[in-house]
Amino acid sequence: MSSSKRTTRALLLVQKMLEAHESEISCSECAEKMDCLAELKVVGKTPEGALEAIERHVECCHCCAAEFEALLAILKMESSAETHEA
Amino acid sequence: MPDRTNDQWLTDLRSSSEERDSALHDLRARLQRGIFFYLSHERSDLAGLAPEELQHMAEDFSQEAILRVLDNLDSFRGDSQFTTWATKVAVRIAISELRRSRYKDFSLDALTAEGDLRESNLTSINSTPPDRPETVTEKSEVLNRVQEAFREVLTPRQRAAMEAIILEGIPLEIVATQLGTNRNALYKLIFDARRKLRLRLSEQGMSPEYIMDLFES
Repeated sequence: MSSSKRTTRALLLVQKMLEAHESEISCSECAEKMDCLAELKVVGKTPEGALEAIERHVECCHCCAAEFEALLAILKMESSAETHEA
Repeated sequence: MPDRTNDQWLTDLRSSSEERDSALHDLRARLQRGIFFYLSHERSDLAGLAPEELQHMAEDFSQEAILRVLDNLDSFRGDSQFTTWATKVAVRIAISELRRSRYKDFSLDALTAEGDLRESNLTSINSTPPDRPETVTEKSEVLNRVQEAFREVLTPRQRAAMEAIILEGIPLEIVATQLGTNRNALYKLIFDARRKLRLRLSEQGMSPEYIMDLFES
């Protein structure tokens, strides 16, 4: 492996360690309450307490983030469609 | 589509009358619309598929979601709208299926075997002007320490997981399957690995912030 590639890999690892917030909750706990967080986000509210912990998990787990972003996108679409129908 | 309260959804879906058929019809339509929107608007990797194909996928994912929703009605606690909860179930099914399909040929064994940081098609995150000799030495020393920590502090399982998830971006559930574990346990494994790396580097006087500053300066 070239030294520049090795450097890049090592730095990426450090960068990811730096970027990631640490979240003690599991993916299952996140999945359980993700719908509540998404509903809160759709109306532009800031999560508190348990939902704040869910948000932190979403920020550091790319799998949960993908699921959360998908759910949020669908809820926004539904919300927008309901607004137009009203 | 009629608006139902959470209680109405539960009552209708548990009934054995026309209300149940109507509720199932409405729920299926809602899930299909949401999943089709997701597949067609939020997934650039599916952009090459025809709308009919995406619709077909949306129908399949929604049907599976309906079955799972019906099996788990008792676990719905009413903390969100019922339709949001059901959509969450459908999204998880859709994304899991897409991940399985995308990574069906992925093999952890093809990743690291030597416990070193392997090569990848990553672009350099360090494109600053040439360094002074003492900075070159400092950078080289720091990189060696990072490599050492990766090799010495982590277990082979942690190294493989870090390689796949952190550096390669492979989804947790795909790696979990190959490691014979589950997503929760793997998340914890990564969490612990990151903590061990941080600790080892900080014992040597190197915080991640210091390292990134050094290479970005």
